[in-house]
Amino acid sequence: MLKSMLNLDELEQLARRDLWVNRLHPAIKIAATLMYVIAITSLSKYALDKVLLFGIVPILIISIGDVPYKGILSKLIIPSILSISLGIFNPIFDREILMTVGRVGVSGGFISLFTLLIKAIYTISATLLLVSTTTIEALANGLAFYKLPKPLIMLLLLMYRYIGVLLSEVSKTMEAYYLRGHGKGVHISAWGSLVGQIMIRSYRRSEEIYNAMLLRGYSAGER
Amino acid sequence: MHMSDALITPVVGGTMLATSSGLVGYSVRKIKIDIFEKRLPLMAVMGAFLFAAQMINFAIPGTGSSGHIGGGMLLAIILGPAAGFLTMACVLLIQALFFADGGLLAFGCNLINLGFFTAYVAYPLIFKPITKKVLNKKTLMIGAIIASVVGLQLGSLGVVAETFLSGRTDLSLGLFLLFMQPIHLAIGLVEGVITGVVVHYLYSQNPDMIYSDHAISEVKTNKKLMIGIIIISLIVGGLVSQFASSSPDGLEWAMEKTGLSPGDDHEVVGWFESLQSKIAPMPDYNFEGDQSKQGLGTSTSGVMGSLLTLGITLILGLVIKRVRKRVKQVE
Repeated sequence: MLKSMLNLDELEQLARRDLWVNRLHPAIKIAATLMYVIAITSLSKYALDKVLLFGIVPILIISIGDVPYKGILSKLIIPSILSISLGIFNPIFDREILMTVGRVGVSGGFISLFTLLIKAIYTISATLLLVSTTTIEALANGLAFYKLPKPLIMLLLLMYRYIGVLLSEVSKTMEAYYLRGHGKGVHISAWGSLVGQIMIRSYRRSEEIYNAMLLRGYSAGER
Repeated sequence: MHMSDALITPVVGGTMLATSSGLVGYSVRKIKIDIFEKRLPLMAVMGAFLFAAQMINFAIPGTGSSGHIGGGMLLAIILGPAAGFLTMACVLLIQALFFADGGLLAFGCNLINLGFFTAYVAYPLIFKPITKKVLNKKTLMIGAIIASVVGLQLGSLGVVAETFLSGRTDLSLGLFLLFMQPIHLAIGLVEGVITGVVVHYLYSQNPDMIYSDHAISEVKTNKKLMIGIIIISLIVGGLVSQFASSSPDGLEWAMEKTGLSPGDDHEVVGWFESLQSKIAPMPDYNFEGDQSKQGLGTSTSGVMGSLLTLGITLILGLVIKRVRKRVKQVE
């Protein structure tokens, strides 16, 4: 999880650069990403050839937006495994040969499995590319453009900022717990007090931050 | 892990997005703006806590394994249904955008599965009635466990239904249910115990940490809530049944796949059935129409062509990057 927090920083640093793609209006980028996802998912589960072509978009954005391939690829591993595990039964149930490569016949099940995997990779890359070229504040502006309720957008921004605060809070508590010689997991006798204490402490801190914001003239109604 | 975009069709994803945005609007209106502003830090910190809580390994007694907390029911109990639902919406949006967990199109599905069923079904219909009369450790635990189990069972049913209606995997309905429901029963039990223990601790430290609507307004809001739920479930039910009726082959297809349909040992019938199962459910579920089946026999060249195009684009992209780097160095 600490790693994913570093990833959040990484994404943010990418998004903060002053590039042409990053400067585009966030509302356009959000709409484009959503349209791209809809276009891919509307293709049939056997349309491997058409789905493959959609890879041009992420490759172009990665090239123009100068996003490192490694950062995107490393985040695709777990979702890929998950989509394979859900499609793994396709080759078993669907054995009709739909395509031949040389002399080897490929069944519909394998085609639909690969289509599912490619779809997952492309749609997730598109979302990751959106946030690696757009800062959270810009995203919030984009969402406001689509008339999302302002308090909800404020909640999104605040929550995003608190993730870092909470992660350091939890990691400190866990370190203290393990240093006292407890095993690999939190014992049931400490479930309530450990989690509860973290929550109470974090809540107090969040109130302090919020009060500081109020003192600086913040109001949820306007922005 | 949440549902990803690749698993669903735009029709299913769009319907769920529309339904869930209606619910978001309803929830925003339900919390008055001044109260919303006051509760904002608590909502934000509870949402962020769910991310950080993935670091905590809860040792499950007697099994040697450990579990994590999902937190939907915890949010509903601490924040109340409307605020809990909205907080879950933000959590899921951040997960979909920054953590590659879920997706933009699947956002509606995930919000219904993880937010609606816990905050608007399990919380008011199970947790509230159990803890209404006496609020002590026992009722808190029982309420949290049953509500978590029911919420997660409904949620995983939602996942199965949405995946099945989209038809992107060939997983048979029976097999998928058999796989999902027992796992989520176990997850729900652990989740329920963690939620119960944590809520009890918070309650013992400061009863104000737990959401409660005041005794006078309770009946009113509950009634409103119930009417809202009924209307929403009518809408959802209507939409879902539309899907079902627009493609009566779906069930036949499921029965055939699960081996319930008789007479598929005849070769010709079997062939027709497999043909039908390929052709029938798709035109209704796809924007693309029935061209999907045609041209499949010759699509090897199509796939090769696509791969080639993709390869050329990739090489071009790498060249662009290299050139850009060099330009930067020169500068």
